[in-house]
Amino acid sequence: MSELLAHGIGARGDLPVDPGFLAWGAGLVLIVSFAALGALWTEPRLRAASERTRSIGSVPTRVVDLALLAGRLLAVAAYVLTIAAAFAGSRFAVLNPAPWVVFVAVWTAMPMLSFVFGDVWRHVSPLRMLGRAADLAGRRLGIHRPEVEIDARPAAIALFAFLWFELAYHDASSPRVLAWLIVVYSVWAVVPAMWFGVAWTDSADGLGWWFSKVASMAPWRRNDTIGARLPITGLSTVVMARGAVTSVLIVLGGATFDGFGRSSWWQDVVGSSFGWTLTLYSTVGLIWVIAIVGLVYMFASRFADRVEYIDATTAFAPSLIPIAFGYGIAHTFSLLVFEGQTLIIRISDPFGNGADWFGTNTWVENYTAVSTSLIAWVQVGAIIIGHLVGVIVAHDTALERYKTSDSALRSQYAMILAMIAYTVAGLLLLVNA
Amino acid sequence: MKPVTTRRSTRLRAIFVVLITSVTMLAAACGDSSDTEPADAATATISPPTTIPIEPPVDGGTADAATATTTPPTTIPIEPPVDGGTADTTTTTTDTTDTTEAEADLVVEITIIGDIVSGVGQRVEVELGSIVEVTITADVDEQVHLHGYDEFLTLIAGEPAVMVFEARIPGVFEAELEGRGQRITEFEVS
Repeated sequence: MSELLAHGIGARGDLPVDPGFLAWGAGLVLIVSFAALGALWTEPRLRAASERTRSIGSVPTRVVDLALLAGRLLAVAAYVLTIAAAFAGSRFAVLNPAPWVVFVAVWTAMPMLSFVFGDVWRHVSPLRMLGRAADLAGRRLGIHRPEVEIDARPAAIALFAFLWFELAYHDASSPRVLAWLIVVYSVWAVVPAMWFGVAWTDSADGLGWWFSKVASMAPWRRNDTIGARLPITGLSTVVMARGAVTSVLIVLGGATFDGFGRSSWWQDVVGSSFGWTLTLYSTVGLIWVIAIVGLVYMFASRFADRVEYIDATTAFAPSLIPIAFGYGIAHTFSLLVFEGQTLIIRISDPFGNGADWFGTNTWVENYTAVSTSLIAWVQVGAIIIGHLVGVIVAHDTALERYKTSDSALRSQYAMILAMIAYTVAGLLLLVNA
Repeated sequence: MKPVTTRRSTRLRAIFVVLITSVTMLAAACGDSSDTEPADAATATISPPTTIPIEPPVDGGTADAATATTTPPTTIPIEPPVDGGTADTTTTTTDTTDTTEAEADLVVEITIIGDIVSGVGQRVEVELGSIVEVTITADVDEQVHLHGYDEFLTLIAGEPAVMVFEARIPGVFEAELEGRGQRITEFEVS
């Protein structure tokens, strides 16, 4: 984790995973993939299951709404405070909470929250509030253009820019640089909403777009009241607009590069370079890894299309979501545990002048809060479970889309190989961490 | 729901299983063979504790106020060392290192010139609980930050400075030249 999560964030990196874990993991993949794809699952089930919800009742729904309102106020306060701290607080990352808010609270914690609770970001995001205001303003001014349909391409641009900043740019934890990033990102996500409506913000806020995809796995569905459903089933209803496949592949490639960048192979390449030289190396590496991850997927879906054309690239893209999410967990779980503590400490003194707003400024991070073997299990488990869910979703999609279950099965050969390749690569990166 | 040609799909399924099995076994094999790599890559140069500084220490004429002091993390961490101006008392860094050298389980000597770090590999393996002594000489006035342990070490160009820490937290920790964001090495404590 060390220098890669924004150079300076991530004090304690994870130990290389014992190869014994890998063998176990590979075995588990074998057994469960086999079970899932065996004779038991011969017709599509997920879509129907995603619609079987059980309402939690109107009173609990209202409680959730209140909690979301509180969350929104909190998010607005955090947004303002983060920008203020990034501009006016300490120039040194170690004395400024802004990098921790962006990289830990938003980029690391939000996907996990979305996975458990659903699309929280949509309800609390300050950017979406601003986007709605811009939407209204645009309509008032008469410049709203309803004929323009917004797809997911702005999300792809935003996600790539953010991941480049996080993983490749050498000075990402510098509060002043980060301050400008937040401003530029906000303007990009909000201002065009005057013309294109809040749909623009939902896409152009690439992080939020990704959180909403992760949230489709959550065991909740919102109608009049909130309904509980089986987790994961929501993936069958995800709509992949133009650019969505690219966006998911960028996230997957970024997470892979995050692990790859920590490997001994890559560090031998980079050596002790710093500054823009390091940025250059990392940029090439990031693009290269995203390209390989993307090519593997394109290859697999081309194979599926040859069995019978169904636009497999788009059709199977939702199965990449759990894989990318699993990769993300594997590489950020310990970051959340350790740097989350740092966030709580820093936020008490946002301007680095010795203040202690919440009484946590004197706390000290406990870098032994979770054992190294627990971290290893979470890492391996996240990658394998993510892969398994991906296989199940792809299998279900194939049964739904192909005319015969026979061609559905055949279409999955290359897809399964691609997913196993992703898993093996992910696990190997943990061994070489 | 859909017509299933049972025999054919059973055969396909069989092929399938064989495929998956072979790939996973391959994967496991790869994993096993590659586990030696990190160990090879991490070469800690353990040099004898006798140290000859690369450049002779500057005489009392030119000023150095504070040499090789580990500053607590709360005080301004990245500021380059302030020059005291004219003559001041010479610090007794060498004396303190002599006493700690005797206890250190691992001694690492690092020289940094530009983007070339010598004397140490990409990663140093450290046994949990051991005392590590790191001597660093760089070509710039800088601040070394050992992440996680939050040890800071002020460097003055050309002068060796010593950092001693007890490896009590397992994990991988980066030592970095904080000012220019340059990774020096990593300590893998396990």
